[in-house]
Amino acid sequence: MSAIAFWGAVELGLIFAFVSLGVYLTFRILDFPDLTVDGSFPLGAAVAAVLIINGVNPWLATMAAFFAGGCAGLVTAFLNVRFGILHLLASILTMIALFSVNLRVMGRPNVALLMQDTVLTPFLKLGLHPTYMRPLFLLMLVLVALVLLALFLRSNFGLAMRAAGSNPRMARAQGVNVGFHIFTGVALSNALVGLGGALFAQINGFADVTTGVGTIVVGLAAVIVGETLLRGRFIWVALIGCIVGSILYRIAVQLALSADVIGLKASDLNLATAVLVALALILPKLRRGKTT
Amino acid sequence: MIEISNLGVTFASGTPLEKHALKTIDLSIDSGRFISVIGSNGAGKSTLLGAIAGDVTCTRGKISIAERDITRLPAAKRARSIARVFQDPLAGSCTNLTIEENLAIAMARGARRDLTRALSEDWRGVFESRIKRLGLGLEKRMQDLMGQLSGGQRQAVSLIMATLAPCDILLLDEHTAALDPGMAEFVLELTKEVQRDLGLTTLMVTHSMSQALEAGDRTIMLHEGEIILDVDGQERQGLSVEALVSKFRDVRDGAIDSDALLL
Amino acid sequence: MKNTLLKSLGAALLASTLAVGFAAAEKVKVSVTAIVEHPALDAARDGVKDALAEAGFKDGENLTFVYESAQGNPATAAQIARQFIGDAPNVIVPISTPSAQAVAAATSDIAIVFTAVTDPLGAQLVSDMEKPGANITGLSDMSPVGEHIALVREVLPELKTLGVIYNPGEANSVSLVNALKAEAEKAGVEVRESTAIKSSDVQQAARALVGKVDAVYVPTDNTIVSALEAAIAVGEQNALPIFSGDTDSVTRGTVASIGFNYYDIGKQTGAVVARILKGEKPGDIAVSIASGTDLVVNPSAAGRMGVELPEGLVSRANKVIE
Repeated sequence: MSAIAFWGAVELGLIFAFVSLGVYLTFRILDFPDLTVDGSFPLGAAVAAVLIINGVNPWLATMAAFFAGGCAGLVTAFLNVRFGILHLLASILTMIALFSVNLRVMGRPNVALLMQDTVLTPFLKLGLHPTYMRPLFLLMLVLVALVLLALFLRSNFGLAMRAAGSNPRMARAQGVNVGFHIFTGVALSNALVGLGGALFAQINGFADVTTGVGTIVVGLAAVIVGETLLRGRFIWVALIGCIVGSILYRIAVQLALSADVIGLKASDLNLATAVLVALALILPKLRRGKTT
Repeated sequence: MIEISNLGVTFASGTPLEKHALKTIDLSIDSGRFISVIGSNGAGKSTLLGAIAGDVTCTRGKISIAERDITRLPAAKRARSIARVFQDPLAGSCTNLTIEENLAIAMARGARRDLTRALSEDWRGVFESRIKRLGLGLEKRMQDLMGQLSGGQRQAVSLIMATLAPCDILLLDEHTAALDPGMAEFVLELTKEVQRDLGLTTLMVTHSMSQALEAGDRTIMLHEGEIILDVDGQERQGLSVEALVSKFRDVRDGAIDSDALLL
Repeated sequence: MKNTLLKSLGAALLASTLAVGFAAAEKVKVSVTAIVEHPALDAARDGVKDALAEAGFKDGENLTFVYESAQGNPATAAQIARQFIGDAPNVIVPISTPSAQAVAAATSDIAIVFTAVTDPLGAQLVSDMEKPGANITGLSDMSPVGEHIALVREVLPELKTLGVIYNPGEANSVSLVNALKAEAEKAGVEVRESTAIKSSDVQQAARALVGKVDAVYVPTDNTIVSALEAAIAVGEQNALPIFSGDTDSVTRGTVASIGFNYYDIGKQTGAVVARILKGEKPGDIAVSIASGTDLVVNPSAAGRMGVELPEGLVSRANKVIE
C-alpha cells in the first residue's frame, strides 16, 4: 500500500467516524437498530452540496446538513415512538423515503462540487500537501465531535439517554421520559451521519444519491471493530473505539484493494465486511458460552 | 397519602384472553405507613403496584396521591414522588453503566436533566457516604459496572437509588424474592431502616407470610383482584403466621399450591 | 506447434517495434475503475483495453492494465481513487460520473480520461469541452444529437423546422434539448419545443406540433419514451415523421436513429488514452461526445409517416426493422 493510499484510507475513515459515532449512539446506547443512516448520509451530502453551489458559506451548509440529518432521525423516531412501528421497520421506511427526498433536494442524481470552495479550501492553502492536510483537518473535526459527545453522554441528560436505551423500565421508574430521549438520540445520531455526508461530498467533490448504500454496515463494522479492540467501562473509550474502528475498517478495505497483497478484489468487499461483522457479533457469544 | 377508589384493571379487554387483574379496589393509606401486600400468584399484587406507579393503565377508578389525581399521569412523571425497587435485580439498574452512573441517574429523579456534568464531586461524596453505610465495601467499586455485582448487592444499591432523591412513596415488588436467605434478610433490614429514617409511605409485595407480618404495620391480602383481608394495629399484632396461612387457605378452598408454602 | 511459436514471435516482434516507436521499452500503466459492474460499463472497459492493444499497448507486455469496481459504493470509489493515485499510473480511466469525480478530486497531476459521463460540464470535470486544460479529458456518452439532426436531414433534405417533445422536469432531457438547439443552429434548422410533464400529455404535445414542423424528434426522455406509441400514432395520422434518440424506439415504430454501444465508447476512450501515452497532454485534447455507430432504420414505419428512406441509408444501416 502506498503512502497516498494509506492516508487516503485514514481520511475516509475519519469521515466515516462521524457515521460510526452516530451508529454507536443508536445501536449501542439506545439499542435502536437504525437504518436511516443509509439515507441521512446522502441527505447531508445533498443539502451541503446544493447550498454550496448556491453560494452559501460552506460551514453554514455543513451545519444545515447536520440539522437535515437530525430531522431525518426525528422522522424515524416519530414513527417508532408515536405510532409504535418497529424501530427497524420505521428506519427502513425513512431510508426509502429519503432516496426520493435526496433526489428532490439535488434536482438530479449527482451534484458536483469539484470547482467550489468548501470547508477544506482555506486549509489547503496553508502549504501542507493535501494528502496530509485532508486527514489532519478531519482529525481536528473528529476530535471536537469526540469531546463534545463524551461530555454530552456524561451529562445528566446523556446519562438519562443511556438509561433509556439500556433499561427503559428502570429509566421510567427514575423519571426519565424514554420517548423523548429516543427522539433526541436518534436525531443526534443522524445529525452526525448527515455531517459525515456533508464532509464526504466536499472532500470528494460530489454528492450522489447512491452515496448512502451500505452506510449502516460500514458504521456497524467500525463500531464492532472498535469494541473488540478497545474494551472498557468508560464512555470515551468506546467513542475512541468507534473512530479507531472506522479508520481500521478503511485500511482493511485499502488492503483488499491492493489486490496483489492478499488476492482480494474490491468485488469481495461486501462479503468481507459481512463476514467481519458477523464474526464480531458471534465471537463474544462464543466466549460467553465457554465461561458459563 | 394514597387514595385508591373503585380501581379496576382489565387486560386484553374484549378478547377471549380478557383478564380482570383488579376488580374493585378501594384502599386508603396514610402518610408514613408501611403496608405489606400478600396474595397468591395472579392475585393482582404486582398489577396494583404497577397501577400506582403508572406502568399499568387503569380501566376504571381513580388514584390520587396527596389529594392530587394521578390516574392519567405517565410513569416518568409520577417518579418525582414514587420510588421503586423491582423483584428482578437486573430490572432496577443499568448493567452496562457504572455504580456511580446509576446513582447519578437516580439522584436526578424528578429534577431537570440538563447538560451539566452528572458526576460532580459533590454528588460523588453523597454517593460514597450512602453506599458506605451498606457495609458491603462497594464504595471502593464505584466505577465498576453494575453488571459485575451480585443480585443482592444490586438490590441493596437499587434501594439506595430509590431513596437518593426525595420521594414520598416507596413501592417494593418482591424485592427480596430473588435473593439467597442471608442477602434477603440484609435487604429487608435495610428496607425497614430506610423506611423508618425517611418516613416513606411504603407498599411491599411479598410472597412470604412471615415477612409480611414481620415488616410493616399493616397487611393486606389480595385474591382474584380484590382485597380480602386488611389487618392493622392490635388485630395484626395478635396474628400468627399460621393464622394468616389458614385465612389464605380458606379463600382458596383449601387448594394450596407451592407458593403458599413459603412461610 | 512450430507454427504458433513463429506466430507469437512475430506478434511480439511487431508489438515491440510498434511500442519502441512511441513509448520506448518502458512499461506503461493504465488504471481503470467503474462505479459498478454492469454489462455496459464492463463493455466500455473491454473497449478501452482492446483499443490500447490496437495502438500497440498490450496488457502484460508493455502495459499494466489495472481494473477495480467500486461495487456501486461511492465511498469505495473514493478509496479506489486514492489507491490509484498512490500507484501513480500513466493514465487513470474512470468510468461513470461518481468514479470520475472521485478521481478528479483526488489528483491534479495524473492524467485522467473519463468515459461514460453524460454531462462533463455539469459534473464539473471540465469547465470547457473544447480546451479542458489541466490533467483531464474524456468522452461523454450524451446522445449524439448532432448526428441525429444529420440523419433527419438525410431522410428529409428539405428540413427547416424540427419539433422536439420532452419533459422539462427531467434534467437529462433539458440538457439534451439545449444541445439539440445548439447543433440545430449550426445546421440551420429551427427547433420547436413541445412539452409533456406526464405520459398522458404526450399525445397532445405531439398534436401541437402538427403542421408546424417537418419532423419530430423524441430524445431519450423517460416520460415521452414510455408513451411513445401516442406520438407515433399522431405521426402516422398526420404524415409527420417521428425520429427518436435511441435505437430501441425504432423497433417500436419511429423512422430511424443512430445509437452507440458501450464497447465502442470504450474503444473511442482507449484511443484518447493511447494519444496521451504517446505524449499528448490531456488538457489539449477536447472532450468529445461519443459518436454513434449503430444505425437502425424502420422503412415501413417511415412509409406510414409518409416518407421514403433513401437507398443508401437503408443499405448502410446495421439493422433494418421489417
